[in-house]
Amino acid sequence: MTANGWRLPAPAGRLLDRSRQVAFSFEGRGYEGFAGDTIASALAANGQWLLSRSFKYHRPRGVLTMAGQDANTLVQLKEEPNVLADRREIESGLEVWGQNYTGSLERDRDAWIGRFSAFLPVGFYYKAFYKPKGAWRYWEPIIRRRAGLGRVNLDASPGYYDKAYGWPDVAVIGGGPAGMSAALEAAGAGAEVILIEEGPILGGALNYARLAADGNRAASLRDELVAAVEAEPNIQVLTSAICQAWFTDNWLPCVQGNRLYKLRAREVVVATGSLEQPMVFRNNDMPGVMLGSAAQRLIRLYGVRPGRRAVVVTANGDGYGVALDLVEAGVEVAAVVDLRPDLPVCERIEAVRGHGVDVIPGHTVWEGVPGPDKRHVAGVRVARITGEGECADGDRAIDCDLICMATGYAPTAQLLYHARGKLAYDDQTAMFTVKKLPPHLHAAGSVNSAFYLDAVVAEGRHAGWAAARANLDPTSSGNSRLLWPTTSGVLATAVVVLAVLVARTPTTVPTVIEATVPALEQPAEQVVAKPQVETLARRSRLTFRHWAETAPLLAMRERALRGEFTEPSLAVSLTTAPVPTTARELMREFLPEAERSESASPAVFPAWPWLRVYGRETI
Amino acid sequence: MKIMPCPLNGPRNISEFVCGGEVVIPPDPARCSAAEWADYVFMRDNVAGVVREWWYHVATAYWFIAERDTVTDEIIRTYPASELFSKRVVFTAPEEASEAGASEAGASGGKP
Repeated sequence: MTANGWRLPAPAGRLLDRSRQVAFSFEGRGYEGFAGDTIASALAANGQWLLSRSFKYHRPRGVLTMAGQDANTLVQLKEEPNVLADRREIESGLEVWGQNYTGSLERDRDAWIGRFSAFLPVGFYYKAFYKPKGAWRYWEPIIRRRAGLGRVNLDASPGYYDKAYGWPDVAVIGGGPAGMSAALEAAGAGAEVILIEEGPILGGALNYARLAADGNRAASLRDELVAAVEAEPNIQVLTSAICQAWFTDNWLPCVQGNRLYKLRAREVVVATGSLEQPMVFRNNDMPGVMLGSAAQRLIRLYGVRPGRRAVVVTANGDGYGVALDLVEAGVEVAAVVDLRPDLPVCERIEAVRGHGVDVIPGHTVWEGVPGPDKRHVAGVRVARITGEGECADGDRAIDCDLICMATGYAPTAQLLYHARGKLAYDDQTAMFTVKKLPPHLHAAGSVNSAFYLDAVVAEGRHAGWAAARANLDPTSSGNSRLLWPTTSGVLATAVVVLAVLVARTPTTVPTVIEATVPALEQPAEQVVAKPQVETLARRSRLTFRHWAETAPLLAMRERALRGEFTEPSLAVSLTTAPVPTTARELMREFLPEAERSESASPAVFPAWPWLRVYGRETI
Repeated sequence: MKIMPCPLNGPRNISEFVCGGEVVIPPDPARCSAAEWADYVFMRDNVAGVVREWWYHVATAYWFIAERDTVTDEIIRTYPASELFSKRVVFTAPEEASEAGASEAGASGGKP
């Protein structure tokens, strides 16, 4: 199967079980893939990129997102029409057919309709063929045959579907870096957490994206987080599960296989990430034109080489990550076309140049050139950008069979819109953000327009903390959009530090915190009742740890958003900075016996380097 | 689905409840004018803002009062009706109505 050169060797293809081969058929021809392959990836591994024909003009359609987010890969199964080929896994003996063609998928006899596109505006046949009265009855079967979406099997057998109910303290939607961090933080504070992940495995973008010039960073962070999540008894993980909606007061219907979970969560953290957006140019719908993330998914998740010679069109650093991944997968990268006229200093750009790839700034792709068979892209035309919506006359043709679009993201914020979140576009950062969320709903990660990995993790932890905090204290609305460090945060931490340093008395660290932090947080007139003390103590420990650990990262994210620093400086990550031994000893000295074993875990310790740094700056 | 905090049963899905309309204090049927009675029977304020309503938990046949904001769809407070109606309401009998005249003794509108 690797003979044709599309399948990549073993480290690639995280979802594949290479020990099990699965035979299926497409258009009546037999194919083989591995267990874990989707229909689209298995076909791509056999060099079959054409999957279906478009609804109206019968144009060829292939992989676009590899994430089930597009209608390009609708195929027909025996029992079911309109199946997403990039989501449905292959199984032995599966019969798959393309959709919406006359004759054969490769040579569609109705492809001539595309030539008349100028005369067929949107809704044309609903206007033209309704007159005279009764004419539609004659025309409808003819039009339906040419513009249909698969055949419904009227003899389909009924299946078994059931329901389950859940009342988690915190529901985290999205199992990427932000979601896993949020779940860990909330579970660590004693909340019962349910983690809902759409894909078959946890990890989100860490599974396929290249988030730094060093390709191993994402994978190591993924392994770390997944191991921690699996070891945490308070987290229930639902994979291959989709949270379909957000209803008032955090009522979440969630589908996993044939089961519907009806969840009523006290707090919800939405960490659904973002979707790469396609770029607009002529013939951008041809097979061979796909999102940068789709190419990365093909490589990392399914071990499929997405093309032989590629052009990457980009406007951000991630496009260069795509180019690096392509180079490593053995794809010849003909050029990286960057829309930006001036490129920032960036590790990934230098790494791409280091591979001898032609980087063309200030240019755009304005046309994809179809091959002689009109079924796959065979080249691009690239032109210099001269103004808003304008290109220079002369263009440059580059031969390629793959165009990767990595030009920007939109937040996957549907659930936040259900909760009446408002989408706003910030020109300064060129990002979408969602504002005005109701209480008890938190957003974290790239859905909240945090894109640097450290900031994403920090935001996840912050949201998890805010959710757990609101859960411990029902009167707090736990607004996760609070930006740290706030003035009161600085003040409270300063008081704690002073208290610890000045009063080197038999008091333990937690009691000092208990004495100071709640006092700052509670209104002066409020008397703390006895039963609340335990909660307050727990909360204040949590508050303290949280400030210590996430404040610098969130502050960093704010600086990044304002453009005050670029990527390379992120290499100096505060979470990975070594903990000074003095701080460890200090911590041991002050903690009571019971707390010591717990504090030996790295989750508690990184508090201290920051305190030192922060203390130096503020006190 | 929204949650209604029931004073008897705690937080429950709002589908278990029925709204009984605005809390309106009935006038004394024997003394009020026809216009006042018609106003009580047919007219409601329909306020955009904070309203006080009767709500009924169907499963336990329990009537209570909820204050909620019709603009933000927020339930502000729920409490048993006894908090509002602390006294027994006694209307005067129809025959005595003319004799009692304007005297308020022994009868009250029920408003606390």
